[in-house]
Amino acid sequence: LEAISKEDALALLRSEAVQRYGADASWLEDSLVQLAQDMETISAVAIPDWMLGELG
Amino acid sequence: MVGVVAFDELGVIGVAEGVASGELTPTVVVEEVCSRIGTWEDRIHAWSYLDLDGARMEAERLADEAASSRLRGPLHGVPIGIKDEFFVSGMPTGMRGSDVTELESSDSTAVARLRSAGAVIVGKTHMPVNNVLPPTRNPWNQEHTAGGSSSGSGAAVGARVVPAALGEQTGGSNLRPAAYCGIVGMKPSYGQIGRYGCFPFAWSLDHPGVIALTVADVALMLSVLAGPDPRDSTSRGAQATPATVAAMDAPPRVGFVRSHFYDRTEPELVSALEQAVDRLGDAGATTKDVMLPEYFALTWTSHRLIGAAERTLIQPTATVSGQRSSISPVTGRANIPASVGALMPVPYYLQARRVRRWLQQELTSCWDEYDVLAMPVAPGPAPRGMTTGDASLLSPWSLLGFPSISLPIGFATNGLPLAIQLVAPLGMDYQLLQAASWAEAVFGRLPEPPLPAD
Repeated sequence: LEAISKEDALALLRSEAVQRYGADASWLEDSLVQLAQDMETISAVAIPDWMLGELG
Repeated sequence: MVGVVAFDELGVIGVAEGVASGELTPTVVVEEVCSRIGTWEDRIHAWSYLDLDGARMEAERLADEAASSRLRGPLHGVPIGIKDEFFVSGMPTGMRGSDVTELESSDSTAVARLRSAGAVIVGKTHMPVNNVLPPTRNPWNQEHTAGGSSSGSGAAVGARVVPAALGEQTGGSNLRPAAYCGIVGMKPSYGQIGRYGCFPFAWSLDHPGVIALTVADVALMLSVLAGPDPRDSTSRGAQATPATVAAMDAPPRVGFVRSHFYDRTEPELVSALEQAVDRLGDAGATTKDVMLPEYFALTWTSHRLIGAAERTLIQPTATVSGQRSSISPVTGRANIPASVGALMPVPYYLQARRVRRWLQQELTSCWDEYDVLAMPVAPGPAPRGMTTGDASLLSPWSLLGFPSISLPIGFATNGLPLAIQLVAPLGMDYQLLQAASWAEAVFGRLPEPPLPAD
C-alpha cells in the first residue's frame, strides 16, 4: 500500500461521496476528514517483511 | 418484597448453590427478580423486553427437576438478563428495527448454553438501537448514564435485579457499564464465546461478554459460555475455562500503564488508580509503571478503520445512506458512520487488519514481566445526561482481542463508582481471572446501591 496524504485521501473520499450521495455531501464532512486522517496514518505504517502475506 | 433472596450476597454462585442444596427454589428466586423489577425498573429502565410469565413457568419446571435431584447444570435456577442483540427464542430482537416485533424462533449460541446450564432467561436488556440511546439510567444516580452499549445489562446487575447478565463489546460496551455501575465486567479473548445469533456490528471486533457481581461469578458464567461454537468459525480455537478460579501461586505482577490513556482521564480517577495500585503493592503484588510503545496509538486508528468497513457490509444500504457525521461531545472526535466507511477503498481496510496482526504480535511482549497490565476503564465516573460515555480506553483491547476485565475500586466524590481495567494477552483468560480475583480480594466489593425512595 502506497502512503497517501490526508489531503489526497480527503479529495478521494469527497469524490466518492459525491458519486454516492449527490453533490452536497457536506453532512459527512467531519467524518470524511477523520477517515482521511486515518487513511494517511495507516498507509504510512511499514509492515515488517514477515507480515507481507498476512491479512490479520 | 425485595430482599427475600439477597442477590448481593449470593451472586450467581450463591443462588446456584442454594438451589442445588434445596435452600432456595427457582420459583422463589424468580419472584425476587419480579419484586426487584417492580422496585427499580421505573427508575433505571434496564429492560427492553420482559417475559416474567415465561420465567415463572421455567422456574417451576426447574424447581420440579431440582426437587427430584435433577440439575441441568451449574446455573440451575439462576436468573440472567440478556443484552438485546442476542437472539432469544420467543422474544423480539430490538436491533432488527423498532418496527419489527416478531419473536425469534431460536436461541443464539450463548443463550442456548445458558439455558442448557439451567439459567432462567428473564428478558432482554436495553442497548442503543440505530444510534438512538436507550432510557437506561445508573442505579447509583439516575441523572447519570449506566454506560453502554450493554446499558441495561449493567444497570440490571448493578441494581441487583439479576445476579448476572450477558453483554457484548465491539468498542467498550461491556466493561464500561460494569464500571459505571460498580460491578465486574469481562470481555474474554476474541472467539472465546461463540457469536452465532448475536446481531453483528463488526465481526472481527465483536466480543460477547459477562457482567456480574464478582470475579468468581464471571468465571462460572464463562465456564458455561466459552468454547468452540460449530456455527461460528472464529471460535474454533476457543478453550473451555474452569468454573472456579484457583489461587495464584504467587501474588500477581502488575504493570501500571502510564502512557496513552490519560489525555482525558480525570485527576480524581488517576489518584484513585494510583492508590489502588499502591494497595495491590502493599498486599504483596509486584507493581511497576509501564510505558507502552508510541505505536500503540495505531490501535485506535485500526479500530476505527476496521469498524467502519465491517459496519458497511453488515448494515442495510438504506440505513447506511442515512447516517450523518457527528462529533462526539465526550471525545470531541468525529465518528465514522457506515455511510462514510462505505467510501473507503478496500486496501486501507486490509492494511488496518495487517497492522492489527502486527500489533498483536509486538504488544504481547509488553507482558513479558507482568501477569496483567492495569489502566483506567473510562476517563471518569459515569457522565451525567444522555450519553453512554467514552469507549476509547477499551477499544484497543477489542481491536486486539485481548481479554480485559473491570473491577470497582471505590467511589468518586460525587458518589459514583470508579473502576480499574486489567488486561492480559490473547488467550490468557484464566490467568486474567486469577489476577483479577486476587485484586478483588484486596479492593473489596462495592456495596449494593440504596433502594430508591418511593
